Amino acid sequence: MRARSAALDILSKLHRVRLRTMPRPRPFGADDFAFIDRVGEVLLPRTETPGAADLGLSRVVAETITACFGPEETDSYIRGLRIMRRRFGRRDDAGLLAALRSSRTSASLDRRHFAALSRQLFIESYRRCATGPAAEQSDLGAAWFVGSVPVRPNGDRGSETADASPVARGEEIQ
Amino acid sequence: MTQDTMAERTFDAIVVGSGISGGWSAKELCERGLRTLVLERGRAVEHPIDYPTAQLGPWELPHAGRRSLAFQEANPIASRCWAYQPDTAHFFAPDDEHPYVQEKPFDWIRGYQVGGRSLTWSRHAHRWSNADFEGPARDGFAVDWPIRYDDLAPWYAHVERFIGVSGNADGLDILPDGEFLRPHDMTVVERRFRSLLESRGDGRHLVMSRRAALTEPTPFFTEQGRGVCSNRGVCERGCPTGSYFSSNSSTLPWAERTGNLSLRPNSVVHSLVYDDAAGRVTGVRVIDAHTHTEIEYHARVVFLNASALNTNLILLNSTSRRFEHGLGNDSGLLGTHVAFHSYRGTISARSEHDLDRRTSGHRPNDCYIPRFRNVDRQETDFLRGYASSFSATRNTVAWPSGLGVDLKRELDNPGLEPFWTIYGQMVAETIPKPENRVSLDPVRTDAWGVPLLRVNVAYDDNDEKIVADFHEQMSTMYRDAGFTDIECVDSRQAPGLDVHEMGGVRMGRDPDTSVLNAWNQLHACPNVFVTDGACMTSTGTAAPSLTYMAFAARAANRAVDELRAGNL
Repeated sequence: MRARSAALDILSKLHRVRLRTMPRPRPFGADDFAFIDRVGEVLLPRTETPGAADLGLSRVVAETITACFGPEETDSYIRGLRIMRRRFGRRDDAGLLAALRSSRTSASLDRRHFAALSRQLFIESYRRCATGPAAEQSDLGAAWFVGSVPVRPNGDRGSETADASPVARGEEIQ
Repeated sequence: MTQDTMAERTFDAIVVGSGISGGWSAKELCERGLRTLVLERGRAVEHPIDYPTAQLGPWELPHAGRRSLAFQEANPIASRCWAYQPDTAHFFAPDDEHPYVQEKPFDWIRGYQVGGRSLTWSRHAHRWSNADFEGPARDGFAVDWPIRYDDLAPWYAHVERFIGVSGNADGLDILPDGEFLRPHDMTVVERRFRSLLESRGDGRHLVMSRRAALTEPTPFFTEQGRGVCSNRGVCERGCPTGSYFSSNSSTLPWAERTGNLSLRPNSVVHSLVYDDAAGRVTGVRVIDAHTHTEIEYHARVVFLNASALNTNLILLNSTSRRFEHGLGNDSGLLGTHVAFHSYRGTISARSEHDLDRRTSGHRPNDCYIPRFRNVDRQETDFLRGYASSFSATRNTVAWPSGLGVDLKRELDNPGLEPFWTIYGQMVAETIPKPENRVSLDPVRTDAWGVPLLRVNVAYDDNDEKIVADFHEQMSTMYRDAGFTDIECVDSRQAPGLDVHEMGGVRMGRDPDTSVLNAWNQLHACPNVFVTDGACMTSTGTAAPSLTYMAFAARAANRAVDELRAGNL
């Protein structure tokens, strides 16, 4: 795990050196925004709950790329986006999904960067949107922290109210 | 507030600064019947209406709460502070409006508004122990503190009863118990780690950190208008329920209801006015932040609570025939022996035990390992030691592996990480030294004509050894606990980012080797009291705010007693 992480770190540094010598790509255009929309739909489709398009997450992601990342990362993202758009520009969602998955292991650095950052930002934006987990969290008022609650055998997180903490019950854990 | 006549500009007491210690000075002076003017250089912030982001969700913030490059570039120093975020930035002083000179790298994090940094403090409320107060004398640095724990203990209790501190009575000499509200719960892994430390038998302990947050309702806190903490974890935005202590929610309203408080925001203090003939300070010279007009206010006593380095600045800038090199600076020590806390060392790990357990709810707190190095005897090749925060949390999966419908399902019903995340951060004592000092720039001034402060503060070899020892000792304890993936990091962050700057106007017994006496009065001008971080003779390892508050309360009551006895 650590060796892989170190190798990725070296690759990332080499990539940054390369980026500094490359001409800057054109800023986002209408076609690029439309493709980010599609990526969002593919990553987080509408199910019984709203998907990325319903929630307007692609706008948040595009603004974040432009405002919160340095020129090297932004440029790499745009280059990766255009590689992906050329290849999966038609409505081949299954192909795009497969490409986003495979881009994590075997693709150009720009394409990998685009896939990884899109995934990261759509996940973060989903969590922070008005109907996502952040909204649930903000409604948690007055929930007292319990330091030890059983996890159910099926991995379910269980119910806070049903499982009182041994700590809360005054039991000593040895 | 307008004051046109001398009478309207004359008070019994003036407090410079409305932060965590200034609020306390004001409250005590007002309660004892002194008509008190509080001068604050920043804008007004009224609890709770001036907490504009307190109730916002991340989706209502620019870039969903992320820090943009423009945001960081606008305030590069403040941006190094973890708490400086789009939802809290309004409580941090803009870098470009308040320049200072860094002779060596020093990140000065400031909060220029009513309430100061009490709005963004981390709320750790730990008493100092005799090991802290006896440190300089035992280990031969700085000067001996002129007080001991017993002198301050009743004032710690006085403050704790008013601000509300959650905590557990742990019975440790190194971390004296206080008057506590219900403590927060430890996690199962934290409790195991605590048992492990206790079994070592070498003075290492894990306790629940004591925090100035209300964990249970009492009639007294209800009377203050404060409610129980709802554990939202967004404290630095300002707490609309007043659940954590701030000047805005607690001391200033309490002072105001006495009818003795006058609060003047937007008042940049230039200097104190010393009357050579009378041999005392008679007032404070203020520059209105908006109009830039100069106004003098007068009082019988002045409390400096402008924050440690600004209090140094004001005293250095208060020159007169009697005090050519700064008010009270007969010893030539004013501005020297500035110190801070080193937070450079962090250590993270994982625990794969207790995977059948998780936590529930959010805890606005963590655990704490009080200092265990060099406590009863000198055992290392460095002086003093460090405390550490500690937490073990069971998080939901940070980065789900799925894509498409699978990813959506994982985000809507997040599973648990197959490990507990362990984290600790060092809080180390630094040794006050004459070369760590602040001074006034001889040429440059700020927008209000006040000389810029020059800061010359740096780490030393003792600090380097402490970081190494922290990593070595904590790694050993982590390995003994069965933690894996241990990772030690030295941030090498500049001093200042700890936001615990102290000293420059140190207390002591001898006017030749200190600036303040045992009651926080200038030796050479006893109607001036300094009860913020500038008064600190050494830094200890506990967060200093509770001690500043105790000093302020003690000194304010002393001031009233001395005034009434005709001694001031």
